[in-house]
Amino acid sequence: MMKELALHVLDISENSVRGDGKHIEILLREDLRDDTLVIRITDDGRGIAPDMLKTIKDPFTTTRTLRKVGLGIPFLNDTCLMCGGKLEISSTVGVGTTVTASMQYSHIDRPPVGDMPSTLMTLFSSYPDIVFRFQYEYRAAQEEEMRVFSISTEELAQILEGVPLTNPSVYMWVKEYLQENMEDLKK
Amino acid sequence: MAKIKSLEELKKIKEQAQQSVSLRVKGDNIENLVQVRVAMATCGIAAGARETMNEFIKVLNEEHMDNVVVTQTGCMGYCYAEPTIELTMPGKEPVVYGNVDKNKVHEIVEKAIKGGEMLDGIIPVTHNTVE
Repeated sequence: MMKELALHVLDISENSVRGDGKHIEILLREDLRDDTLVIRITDDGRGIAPDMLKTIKDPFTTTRTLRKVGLGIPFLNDTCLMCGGKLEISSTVGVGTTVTASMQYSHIDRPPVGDMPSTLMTLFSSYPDIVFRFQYEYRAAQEEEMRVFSISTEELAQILEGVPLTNPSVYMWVKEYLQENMEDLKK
Repeated sequence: MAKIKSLEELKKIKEQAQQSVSLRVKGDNIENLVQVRVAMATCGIAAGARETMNEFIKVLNEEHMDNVVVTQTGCMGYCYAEPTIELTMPGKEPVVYGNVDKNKVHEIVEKAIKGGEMLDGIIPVTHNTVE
């Protein structure tokens, strides 16, 4: 199993990359008021055929050619079910796929969110041709309003004007930027 | 409390980076680059491939080793030995290392990349890069 939810995010996003997604949106919502945690990953990739979609939560369904098991989706599905939530996958061939994982926020078995900045930087820097958008939402137990932080690689690219995110000082800076802003949202 | 970062500051970082990059491009060519590819499928991720990749980036940054490119690849089929990496030295055949934790990252950077040595932990196969 994955130790952190951020590792699930990395793993599921890799599916979107391999499915030829050019725009990948990652939402992480920690809603303490409704006691839910939601992760949603949306891509505009080639989509999943209805037949495959029916059995996608089965470990013996995979697009891999190297061997016959694929555990990414089944792992996340198990984590959701174990934590009083569910995993929903909707997809249209040629349009894209949305994976929505929900969990009870306060569930004792819910893994920690973990290191989201590392997950995001791994994705952002490995796939410069894909536009990633990340949105983090947080609502404290006694609050009405959802606090929101978002970032896209498109807006980063506009500032960077050709300097790649793999440049070490840029990489470190953006990672710290994500860290600080995510922590700040919870204050 | 320190003020949190804003995207404004990124412009300055970019300008600094541009200066050092333009110096480098002149003296470098692509055949001289060392490539490190970290296997980043479910098996790799569960075993710590993200931390392995981060550690490579961190160490190479600290050592100012601009001639090394760190990127990722899919499952290479050695799930029992994850995290795995593929190291390609300029003009040489790729070599796959298994069980690459943070300590191994330091060893690979010091001995294999800087020193050109072969280390323990090589997965001996006729290996072809996947995708």
